[in-house]
Amino acid sequence: MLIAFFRTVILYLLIVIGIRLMGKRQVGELEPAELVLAMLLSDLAAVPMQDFGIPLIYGLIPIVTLLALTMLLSVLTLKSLRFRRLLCGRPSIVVRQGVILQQELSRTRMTPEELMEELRLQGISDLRQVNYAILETSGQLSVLLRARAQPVTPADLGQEPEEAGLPLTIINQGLVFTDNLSRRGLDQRWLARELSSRGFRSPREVFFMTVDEAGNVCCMAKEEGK
Amino acid sequence: MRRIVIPLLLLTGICLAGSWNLTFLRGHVRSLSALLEQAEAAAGAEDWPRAEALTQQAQQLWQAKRSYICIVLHQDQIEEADASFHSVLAFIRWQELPEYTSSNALLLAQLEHLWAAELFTAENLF
Repeated sequence: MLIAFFRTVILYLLIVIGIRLMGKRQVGELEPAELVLAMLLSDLAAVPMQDFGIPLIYGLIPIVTLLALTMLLSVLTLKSLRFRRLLCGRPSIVVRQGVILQQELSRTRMTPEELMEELRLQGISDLRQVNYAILETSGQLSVLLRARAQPVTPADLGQEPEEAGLPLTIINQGLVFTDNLSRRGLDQRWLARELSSRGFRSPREVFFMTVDEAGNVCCMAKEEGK
Repeated sequence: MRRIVIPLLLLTGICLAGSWNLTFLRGHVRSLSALLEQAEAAAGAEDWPRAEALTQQAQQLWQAKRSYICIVLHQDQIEEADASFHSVLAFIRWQELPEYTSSNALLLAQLEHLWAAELFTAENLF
């Protein structure tokens, strides 16, 4: 039991350090400690599940130890900025005003092709459009466009469009969601009127229908034969 | 503060439970070993009935804590010790001193290994 506990502590810390040293690109969306937990938990649970010769406690102790260590590390990263930097690293600026910062890029072990691929995924093909590209500690690339490359917003045009708010599903594949209907302050009579104005005789003919906070209706008919 | 106390309590709890388990196993194995060593001395003095009684007493003691031992030790270690108890008792009944001595030594080593494997040493850790 005691040996299982200390072995878990040693291996967990070793893998966290290993993942941290591998750099941000390998981490993905998780923090290093969370990634290690995800990697180890499934295996730990599977071994005593399959091998009846191993006591269940040999699976439970490492799992509880890992969960406690992850909780501890997450509290420490919240409390101490220095510890957070040590465990998770810090964001790296890889592009500044359209220029790739080569030293920083190589420090993060990211190739220019990978950087361009990430930018293309965000709909940017021209590096000159980028004001800052920052590789976050989670491994994701945040891109801040130059002012001239940013899309025009209604505020730029001095307009104040009405907020449509969250659309709620009223009909899903012919089934009426009465809860959502009353949440929007509407009733069956309104629904019948709305459907008849769109040429439907029954909700069963509707594939999908939503109503947003401004009362805008989106309605799609079921395809023939469905 | 509570968020840091819960994981610390869990980790401390596991450490304490592990230490208690080690102490329990050591104590249990020492009691068994003492009985088996007395049985070996009795067998050496050709007192086979006493050797058999002491070994049976050790086997009963082993069986009495078997449920707990099954929770904390590997099944194959327990089965090996079970089999050794049976063979030691068989050699006592046949009054075969050399075979009994060797079988009893194997059982003592197996029992010693049960708690020695739990000791907090570099050898066990790595």
